[in-house]
Amino acid sequence: MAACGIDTCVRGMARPAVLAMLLCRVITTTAMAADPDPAAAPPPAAVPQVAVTPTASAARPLHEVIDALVTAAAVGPCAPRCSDADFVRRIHLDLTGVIPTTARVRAFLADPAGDKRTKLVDDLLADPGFARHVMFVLDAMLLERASPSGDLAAAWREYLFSSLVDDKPLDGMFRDLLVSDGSDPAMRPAAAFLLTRDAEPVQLTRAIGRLYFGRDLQCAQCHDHPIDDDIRQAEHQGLYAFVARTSLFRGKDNALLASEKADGEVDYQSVFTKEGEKGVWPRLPGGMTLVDEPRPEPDAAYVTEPTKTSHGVPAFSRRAALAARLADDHGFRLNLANRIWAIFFGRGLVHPLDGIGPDNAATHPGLLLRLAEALREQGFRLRPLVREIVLSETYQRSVEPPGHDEVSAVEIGARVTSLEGERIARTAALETLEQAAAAAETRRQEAVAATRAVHVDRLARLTERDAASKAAAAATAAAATTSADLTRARTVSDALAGAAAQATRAVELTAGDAALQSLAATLAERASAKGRQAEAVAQAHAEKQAAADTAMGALTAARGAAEDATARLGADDLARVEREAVAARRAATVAAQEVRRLDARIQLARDLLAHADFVGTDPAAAAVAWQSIVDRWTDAGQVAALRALSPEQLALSVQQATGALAARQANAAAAIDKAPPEALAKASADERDDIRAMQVEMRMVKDASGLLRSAATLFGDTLSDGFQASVSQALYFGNAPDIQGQLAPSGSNLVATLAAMSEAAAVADEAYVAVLSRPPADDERADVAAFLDARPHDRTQAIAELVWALVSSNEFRFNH
Amino acid sequence: MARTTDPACRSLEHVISRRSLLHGLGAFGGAAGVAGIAGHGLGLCGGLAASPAIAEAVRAGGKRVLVIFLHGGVSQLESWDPKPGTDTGGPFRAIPTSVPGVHVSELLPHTARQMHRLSIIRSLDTRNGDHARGQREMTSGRDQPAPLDYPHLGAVVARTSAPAGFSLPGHILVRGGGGGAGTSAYLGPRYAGVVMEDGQPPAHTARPDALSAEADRRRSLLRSRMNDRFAGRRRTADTDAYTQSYDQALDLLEQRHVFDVSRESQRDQDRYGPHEFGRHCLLARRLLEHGVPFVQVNHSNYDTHHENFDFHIEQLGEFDRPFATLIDDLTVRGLLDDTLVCVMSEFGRTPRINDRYGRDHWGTAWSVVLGGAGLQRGAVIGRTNANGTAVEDRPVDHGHLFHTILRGVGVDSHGTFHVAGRDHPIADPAKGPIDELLA
Repeated sequence: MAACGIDTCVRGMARPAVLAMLLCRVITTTAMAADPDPAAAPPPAAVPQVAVTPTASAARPLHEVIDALVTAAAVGPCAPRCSDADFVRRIHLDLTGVIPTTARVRAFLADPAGDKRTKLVDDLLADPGFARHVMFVLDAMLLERASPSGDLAAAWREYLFSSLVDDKPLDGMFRDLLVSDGSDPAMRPAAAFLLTRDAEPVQLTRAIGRLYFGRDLQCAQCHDHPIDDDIRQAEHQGLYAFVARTSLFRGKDNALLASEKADGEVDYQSVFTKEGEKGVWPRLPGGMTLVDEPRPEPDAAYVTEPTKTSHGVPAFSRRAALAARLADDHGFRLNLANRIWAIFFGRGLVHPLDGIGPDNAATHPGLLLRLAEALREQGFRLRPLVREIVLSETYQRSVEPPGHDEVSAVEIGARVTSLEGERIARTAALETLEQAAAAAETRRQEAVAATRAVHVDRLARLTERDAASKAAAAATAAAATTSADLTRARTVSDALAGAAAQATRAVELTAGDAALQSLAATLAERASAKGRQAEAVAQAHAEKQAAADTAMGALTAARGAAEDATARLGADDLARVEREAVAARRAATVAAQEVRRLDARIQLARDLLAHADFVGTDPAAAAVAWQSIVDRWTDAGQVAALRALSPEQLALSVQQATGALAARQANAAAAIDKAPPEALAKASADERDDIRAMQVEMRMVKDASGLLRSAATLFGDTLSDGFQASVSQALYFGNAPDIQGQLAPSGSNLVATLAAMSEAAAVADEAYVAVLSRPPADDERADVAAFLDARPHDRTQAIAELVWALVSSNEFRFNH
Repeated sequence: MARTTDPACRSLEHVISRRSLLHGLGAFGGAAGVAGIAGHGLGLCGGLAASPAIAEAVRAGGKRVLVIFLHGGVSQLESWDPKPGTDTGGPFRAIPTSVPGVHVSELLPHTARQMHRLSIIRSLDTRNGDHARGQREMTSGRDQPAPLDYPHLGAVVARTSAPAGFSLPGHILVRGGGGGAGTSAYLGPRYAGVVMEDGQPPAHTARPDALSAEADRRRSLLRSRMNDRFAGRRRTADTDAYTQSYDQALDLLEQRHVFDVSRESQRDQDRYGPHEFGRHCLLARRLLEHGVPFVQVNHSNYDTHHENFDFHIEQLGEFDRPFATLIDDLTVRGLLDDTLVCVMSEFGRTPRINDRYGRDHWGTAWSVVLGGAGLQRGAVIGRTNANGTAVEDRPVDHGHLFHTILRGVGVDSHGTFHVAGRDHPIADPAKGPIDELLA
């Protein structure tokens, strides 16, 4: 039973207390930013490692590496560190999905400690709110706002929550999502990924391509992408081959399961060129090919054969094979790192998140590589990577862009010169890398073709083996039949022979009793006949047995031949060649992207210089140009982005601000305490508090599910990750009973608390800290005082209006 | 009213044109040069309507689309493609229409007189007999065996055709039975269908009793000051959009009457009839007159596995007169020139009559009707065979229909939407419009 008491917890949960200790390990790194993969191609010695490789120093924390890479690439000034007030709000929203309580804000602002940000980060990573927030993030990411049906609806989120509490490695979670067919109760929730997509192979291919590898291959379903050379039909088909044998199975009581067949090949043809391939090998996008999949003999193909009443479970599952290859795949790691980064910056280093490819350069290609490797080094655990990201200065920058006056034309001019020099050097190096990648790809294709030839032979041998297997089974069965016949015949013949001997003896003893003599003669004759018959059966059996032996011999030979053919595939050699090709392509891609980024930086530098010229002559043009510069600074991590709160962040934060969340938490706690779940009742004293906290959290989410669902409908969406404001949203804030209810004074909620205060300054202070997580400035205090002073007769109403205005303000709507 | 003072997007001109547009939409007909609208009490802003700037703005606002969705799957044989006297034809006669040589079922006597303003496509082959899939595919123009989520036509039209600063919803779904929420998929929540359940106003369009308009303005002013202050720290396109959405909400509240069909004259209410579909058609007219770019009215339920003929007498009996009245009104008011009307279902019904006198689901050879805006009128596209069991000429499907509708309202259906860094083809790139229907 799971320690957290949630039935669907996959395995015993790590104790939260242990967790807090685990996650405090700092990721260190040798600061090899360019390509730390030992399997990669030899490092491109010719590339000047100017921007991407800070000087190597032993065991440098990853957050410093992040900052070094971002600062080295910056053009113009970076924004300073954000204020403590900004930080306390930002970090709570990003790590727990909700704004801080007033107590937290005040305590943090008052804390004089120099390392208080680090302490706060560690506290929040160990807070149940972290698991809750990331649960929402992963839910939206993995199911794209679709709701799992039936029993999975609640179990799915509990699965995510308990996995996150557990600090379950992400590669393991992503594996489970592919492997679980829904039949094992403990793993059933993970099947929501497949089942919510009807276990439909085309949909799955798209989802896995996008969510696992950051590649939207949909356009290549029927033909190569007409414009983007990198989106190939073969790539789509290779991934599709992993899931093409999967289908939806409706079991008893309409319970859904994922079924998989043991056979079925993917053939395709371009609708344009008519070129294609038969029997496509499963292949990870731009990665490794599965050429030597086990092909069990027909009678061993299934653990459970697919029938009308049972879902298929093959002895060898292609879906499981895909799952098993994730952790070693560079593309998978890159995608995960990019998606984690995006949670904290509002966009990926590569954007859009499913647009990873050579033609869509990361803002910092070397940094993305470094994060991907850090993820692997840390065993795909989320918290250590998150910790390093949020400890970076890059994350902690202010949203306020530096002013024009902070840009030094002299400095920028010099920067253009150095960037152009770097570009020349890198372009030259790029050519070498491109050639190496092309050569490696040629070798890969040759190796694949050679393997294909053996593969054809292997298939023939396998066909022979399967035929031999069937023949051997038939011959053995036949021999078994004749063996049984022989036993029966011998039994009869032996009995008769014995009886005849006894009769003969009786005749001797009775001195020629005629009747007995006749009986003895009959017995002797019958015994002799049956004896001959038995011999005939023995003969027949001997023949069958020989045939069976021959068939078994043939089968052994056929098996040997099939195994030989499998060995001759040279899967290991091919894997080596493919690894080299992948690494060479990666090196060339990163180099190409760095050149593109240099172009972008040179352009930015020139625009900065041009802007200085505009300011005096054409202020309107200068304003537009400046906006574009600030946007690019934001994408480059030089200024923090304003990020709209997610539907869940927004709904919970409104509740936190008005005091409704505290009431919800109290209700959830009371419900848990009133009827403690079994795991809590059984928990030992030292783990009880942590377990209770987790259960209260999950209970609160369950109770708020209606609210959260409608928030997702109103504010959220699936594929578009851009911000949108709609009239419906504003109408909701303006007129919805839900919001109005939170603004009515009740118990110790915010409006009631404020209404009880007599001093306008105190009202302003409490309201601003509660809603905006900061004390008001003097002019804001004055505004509040003026607003309240004018309303002595309906002061509570005025306070509700004040809180409404704060909650619906831009400052509240965005993370800053 | 809360306004920041940015010169670029808050210019006086901009504010005037947007606001006057909002109030002047009632005068749409006037701006389009058609008389006859003033008598209906819609000329809220007659003075502004005379301004050429307003006329320009209305034109720039683009055209509108009205979808009448007959839920459950209307029988083409009892409506647009009758086959009397055949083994599949059923008991009803075909009657002549206002287009010489074109006949429809006798269940549509009023609509028959409007057919010179509409066209029939009789050659739909959508290869599907599933309700949910049919709804998805017909309204999104894409093959969607499973819900992959392409935007509903309404979201596309709202995005392409709503005038700048338009504060009424751009995509309205008048629901009376029959589901559908009008997903906006990657286009985002701004273009999602706003539901008028049973013809009632959309959610949250009434101030709570405790909140006076005065209090609403006061608190908005306060919010506006806070936003101005925050803009000093950082201002982006997103913060502007968020600020603007509140202004639009205030504007919308002032136009709440647009959702109130009871404000139409008693005479009109009588002409459309007292039943739900009649009211909803009148409401659709009202919404379109106020410039809403996309309106869908659902009429339910045509899923006639039993007693197909009795049910169609009843359902089409309800449908016929309000629909014909609506087409007539749109024409008289000059709105049909800018409004594309389409009557569709998730599929048609089997030519074979089952043993319960029903017809079952059938996507192989069926019909839709459309007209108005930039489409040919009085045309018949495609043909089924003698007893309606197969398409004989010009097979088309939801993909072609989607392209045609968009082209009919001036949208380049081969274009793409650029959303959050990704390009999305507006319509199925493998299909195209039905060219002979485009005027």
